[in-house]
Amino acid sequence: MNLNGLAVEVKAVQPGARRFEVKPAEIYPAALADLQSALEAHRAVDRALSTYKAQAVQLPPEAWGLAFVPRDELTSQAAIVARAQALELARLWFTEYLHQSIDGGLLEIRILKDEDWRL
Amino acid sequence: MALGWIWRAQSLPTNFYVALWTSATAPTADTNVMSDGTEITAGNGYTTGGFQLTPGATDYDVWTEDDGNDRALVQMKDIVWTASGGNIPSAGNGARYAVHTDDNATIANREVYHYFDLVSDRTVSDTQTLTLQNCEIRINES
Repeated sequence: MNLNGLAVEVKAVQPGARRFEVKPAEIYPAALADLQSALEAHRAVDRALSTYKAQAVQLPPEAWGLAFVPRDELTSQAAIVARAQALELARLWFTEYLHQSIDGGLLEIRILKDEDWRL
Repeated sequence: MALGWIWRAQSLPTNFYVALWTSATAPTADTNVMSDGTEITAGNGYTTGGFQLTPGATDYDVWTEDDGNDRALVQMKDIVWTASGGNIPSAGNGARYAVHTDDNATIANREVYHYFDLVSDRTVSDTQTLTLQNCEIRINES
């Protein structure tokens, strides 16, 4: 996954950590697209990411589109759950890529507030 | 637990553990200690009490502040058991739950802080591994 521009590095809280601030409106679409692309292209990924790929296969098909719909616009509990599942997977997918980009070091991520992407 | 560490300056455990339980008793919010559940049989690479974690950056290596959902998330490093000399568990039912505990010298009295559902009973064959990847602790602000 191309992380270019998605994570802005800021001063870390913990000594030795690297801290990044991310915007939901940027990371979620990018992560969802990359995860779907990885599935469709049968892209080989490492063990850590393959776990998330396996979970993504289990998502209800509508979850991918629902992920882009603000929660307040959904009324069906099933839709809300499916949407949340997709977004959580996208977050984990993105987090794993970011973690690997710093060679597995101590990572702090701050996901900024954006009501459209609230679970 | 955390109340004492934060507001009463009580000492943190030196270590934490992740232990494996069978499906005999599902952990819930009312679960308090290890004796509330049934740990898998030790042997072949699984030690009673489980996998040891040390507080700090190495073993709890990813922190997320999720402002949009008013929560914090802490990921543990990958927890790996390798079966050697036979299956894990060495006898009885497979591992269905992982529980995160303190390091009380009496394992039965270890406090259970968090639990993770492995979805089905897991048995690992000799030389194979059971990996718990990126277990996350979620702390909600509201």
